[in-house]
Amino acid sequence: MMSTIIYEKKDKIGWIILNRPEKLNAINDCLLEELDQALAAAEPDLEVKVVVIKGAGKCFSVGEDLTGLGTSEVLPPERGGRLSTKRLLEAERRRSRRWEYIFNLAKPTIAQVHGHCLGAGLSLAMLCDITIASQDAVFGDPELRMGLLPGMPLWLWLVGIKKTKEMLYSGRYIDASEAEKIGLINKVVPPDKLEQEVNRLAEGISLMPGDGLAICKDGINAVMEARGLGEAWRFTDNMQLVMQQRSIEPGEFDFFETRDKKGLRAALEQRDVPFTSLRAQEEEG
Amino acid sequence: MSLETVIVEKVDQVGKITLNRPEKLNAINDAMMRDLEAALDQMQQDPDIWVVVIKGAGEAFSVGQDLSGVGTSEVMPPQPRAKAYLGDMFETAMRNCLRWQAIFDFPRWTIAEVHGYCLGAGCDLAMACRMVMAAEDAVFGDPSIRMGLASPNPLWTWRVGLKKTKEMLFTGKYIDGREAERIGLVMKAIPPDKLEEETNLAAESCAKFGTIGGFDGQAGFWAFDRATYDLSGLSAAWRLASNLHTLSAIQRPGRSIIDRGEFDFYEVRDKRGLKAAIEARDAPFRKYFPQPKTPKENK
Repeated sequence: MMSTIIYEKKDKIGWIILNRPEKLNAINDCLLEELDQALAAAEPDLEVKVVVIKGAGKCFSVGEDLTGLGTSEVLPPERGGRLSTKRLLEAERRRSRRWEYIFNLAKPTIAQVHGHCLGAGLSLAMLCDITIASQDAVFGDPELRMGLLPGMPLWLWLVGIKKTKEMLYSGRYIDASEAEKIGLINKVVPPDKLEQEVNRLAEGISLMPGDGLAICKDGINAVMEARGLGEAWRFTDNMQLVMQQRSIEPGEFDFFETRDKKGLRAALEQRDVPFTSLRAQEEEG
Repeated sequence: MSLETVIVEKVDQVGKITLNRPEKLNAINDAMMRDLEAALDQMQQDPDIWVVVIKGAGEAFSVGQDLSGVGTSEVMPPQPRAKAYLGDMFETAMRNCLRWQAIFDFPRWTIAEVHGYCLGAGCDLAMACRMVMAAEDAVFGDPSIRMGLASPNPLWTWRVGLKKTKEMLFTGKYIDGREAERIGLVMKAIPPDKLEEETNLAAESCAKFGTIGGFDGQAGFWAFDRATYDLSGLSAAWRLASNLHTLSAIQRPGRSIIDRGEFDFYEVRDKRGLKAAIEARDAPFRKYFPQPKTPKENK
């Protein structure tokens, strides 16, 4: 019995619903593990031709759970901890293997995105083969604002080097129309049409020969490997270690310390406030 | 040399190759592939030709591989029923892979002038050209997956990006010239009545890009261009895509463990004819992925 994921099968379509609506579907260890279970159930199932991933409640997902409770798989180890480099590298490898597994699932995957889609939530949406979003969706990866290294190499291939740097250096959020323009998602639709659009797409794909789909997907992903994606994953693992072992500069905002002292909400507020001008500029522009 | 399925012309410094099986909407069979190669070869020998324009006679650029099964043993992978040896299959895959790369590597500007249907291998041909100029109402797509085939063409991800590649190839959907321009498949979408004029203008200006002080600037530039693609993985990608295309061809749609009893293109074709098979292939998807109208249907 799963507590943070709902998995249903309906007419050859496997629906995976991220189900922690009270936490805006923040991704913790439990959710990751259950997501794995749901995908592992869908992958060999001959009755499932295509998998759709969506979020329950107000949004797709706000990203990794930052509370620090049950999040050892999604957050870096505590600073000053005594884990060996080997252990740390293993943890990073586990993280990227998990992402690679989702990317290479032998069935087409569709992300149905509404509301916030940030950090690890955005990574998940990027890894799905096709991403459809409603106009109210917001995309971004604010990890660098917390001193965490964004760990998703797909950015470069989806939106190009200039936009990747713009997005990751600033941690800025963009709306769905802009996300479509830069190639982060396939299509943006009005909120009340989202469900219908994804259904139509999934049903259409579910009529295709399953063997053909699996090979077609593998062919396209193999092309990405040839373009260097495989090496990029490994490189990201190593860079994560470098980032984890750096020390905080004097006067630098320490997200995790602020969280422990003043609580998560205050820490998030303090993280994003300095960047409001970025936000205002975007709204004016 | 007389070529039967393509027409070769030369206007000033521009070589023109017209795919010429209008009654079959320029479906590409073995003969056309060979003629196309011969025509390109001929133009490569001609020191006065600096640009090659490829276009289609009649209503369309090309509807893609000839699916009739007659005279197509080189352009189509062996049919599932043929029970070909794996060695033969991979030989076919590698031959096609090298052929397409040779077109992609042609050391002059190549421009595809696209009107009407541009599907499957026709779309691959347009993509292998350096530049694609298309009528706004041209129709692009690769419906191979609807017959259980994976695309042998790795250029998709470079041209339209990963997300759009998957959307196009998983659904086999058709898009018009404007949309093709928006996603990057086409460099310029042009009103149909201006297509020829604009393409000629582009060809003439490209022809000015020739030798620099006796150095063949174009050949040098394209060699550099190709090296850049190869550094980002194109050669390996091409081999992988070709082999996976062949692998998909032996999966026997309709008889595999996943797809038992589902639509089998070859079976329907042999029983009810090619036209009916193509209709049966595309009909179930119109509801989900509306098809843009071709110029002929618009009239």
